[in-house]
Amino acid sequence: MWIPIISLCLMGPDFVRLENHSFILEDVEPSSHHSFSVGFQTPADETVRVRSIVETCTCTVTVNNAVLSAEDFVLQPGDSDYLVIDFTAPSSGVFDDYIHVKFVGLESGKEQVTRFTVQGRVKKTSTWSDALLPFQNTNVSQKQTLSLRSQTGDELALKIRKVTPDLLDVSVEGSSDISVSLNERALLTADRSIEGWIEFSYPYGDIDVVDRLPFEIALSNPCSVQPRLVLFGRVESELDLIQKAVIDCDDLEIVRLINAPDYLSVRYEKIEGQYVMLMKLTKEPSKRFADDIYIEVKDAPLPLRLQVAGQIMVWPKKNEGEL
Amino acid sequence: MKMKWICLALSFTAWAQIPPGMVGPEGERDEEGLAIGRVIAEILLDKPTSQRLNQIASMFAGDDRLHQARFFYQQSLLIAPKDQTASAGLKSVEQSQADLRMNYENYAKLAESKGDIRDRCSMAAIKFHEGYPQVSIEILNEALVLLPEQSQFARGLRTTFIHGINLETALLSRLEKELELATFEKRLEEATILCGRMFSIGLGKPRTVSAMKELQGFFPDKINTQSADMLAKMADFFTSQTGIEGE
Repeated sequence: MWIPIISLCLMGPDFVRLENHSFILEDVEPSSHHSFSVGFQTPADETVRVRSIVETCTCTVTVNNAVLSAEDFVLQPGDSDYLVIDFTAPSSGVFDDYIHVKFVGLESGKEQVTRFTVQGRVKKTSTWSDALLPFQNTNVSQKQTLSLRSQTGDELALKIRKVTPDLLDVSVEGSSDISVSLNERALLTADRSIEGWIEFSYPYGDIDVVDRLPFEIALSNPCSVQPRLVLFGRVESELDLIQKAVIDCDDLEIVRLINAPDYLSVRYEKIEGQYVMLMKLTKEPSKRFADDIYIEVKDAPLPLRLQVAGQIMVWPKKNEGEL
Repeated sequence: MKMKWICLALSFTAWAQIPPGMVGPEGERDEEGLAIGRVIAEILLDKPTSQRLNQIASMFAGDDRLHQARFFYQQSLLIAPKDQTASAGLKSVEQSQADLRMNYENYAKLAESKGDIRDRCSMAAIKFHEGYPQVSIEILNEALVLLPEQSQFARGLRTTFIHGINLETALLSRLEKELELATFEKRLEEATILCGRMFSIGLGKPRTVSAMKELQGFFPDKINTQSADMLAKMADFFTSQTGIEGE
């Protein structure tokens, strides 16, 4: 109880005086280096320990030509000098970084954490011919092609670095065009909206600019499912082992079960135009389980996805092992 | 006479206040609807005969569930129009229903003239007994507003009715689960009895009719279509003016 009160007593107005805390850079060159000086003055009667505690950027802070790090650096009473922040801009996009520097008065125990911010944007060095359209059921198998050009219209030697999440097939055509389509994994994401990006690079002067192209996948189930999540809930008796879902596919027909977790058995029948699906836990799953069932639907662009989830509180004794 | 209805309601109180924990595989009430359920199962697996339908009707009548009894006697007469048992049973049930309606009207008149809350409680008990739980609760709510100084008994009765509705819903949910499990495991005989029990308890409530259609869907060649169609007609209770309330 006393510790927070003591801490409050030790905290007060800034005891190390600093000139400036925030810096803004607009349309800077990719990966360009920038330095900022911040004047400071320590109290006349106290030695101050200083260290850099957090930073989000590729940057260094120096005092008297010594680089601040997590190690202690000591300022003598009445020191008046400059903190120098060396910042390297990213190769593209906007940035909003910060550095936290902590000052501690060695005699008084006073603490001061100062936040320095560096915000801004890198100038655009390329431009897309278009944006990627969201992938939906209507364009599941469609390839989208985009061109990337320099600001002066020149081709760029594009390289694809990574797709996050890995749901797209992306290839470079020529040197400056990309072709994008959904891969097989994406077809298993029905009923879930996913946003991601394609990370790519291209040479620009002496550096490689790394940038991202956003994408969105919003595929819906070919049939409506009630309930959307088949929740077994807290399983503790034999009756908790069974659950039901009703699937309405309009004119479409369910062809077969593609995949279900091995602890689950599935039976379904078409009853009055709807499919009634019974699911039974036949093996003990992990304590908490959440999986998908995939069902092939005739003439549908992607499989039907059913989500099942639950929690095993007590595995019914009568049904130990395989049921 | 007034006391008869109130006693009926109180006996229901005792029934309804069995702790929920008792409603389970080991509970005393686990055989709820089993007798009628077994006979309904027979007609689900075979064709409906007037003899079986009369048997079901008679069981419902013996349980004072007149709507259901009338329905099954009527179905029996559709199969065998000259069946004496069905004719006599139907006449008797219709007489009982007419008596109930008359009793209700008498209590309604008394309620207006005397201002005794017990008359309204009797009206509510008759409606509940007839299969109109929501109407009975509305009657009690109105009584509580009109006669707040005599509210104690009406409050207790209302709690009893609500408790009864909840218990019935819980029991139907459990039977529904048991039916799904039996269906999944292809235990036909057990599944039909469970479906019969649902009909016995849940009358022609939509969930009961759906459960039977699902049973029929999973055992397409085993469930008698004529019987299933006939039982599905019980859903009409919930859409007709004289229907029984359902979920």
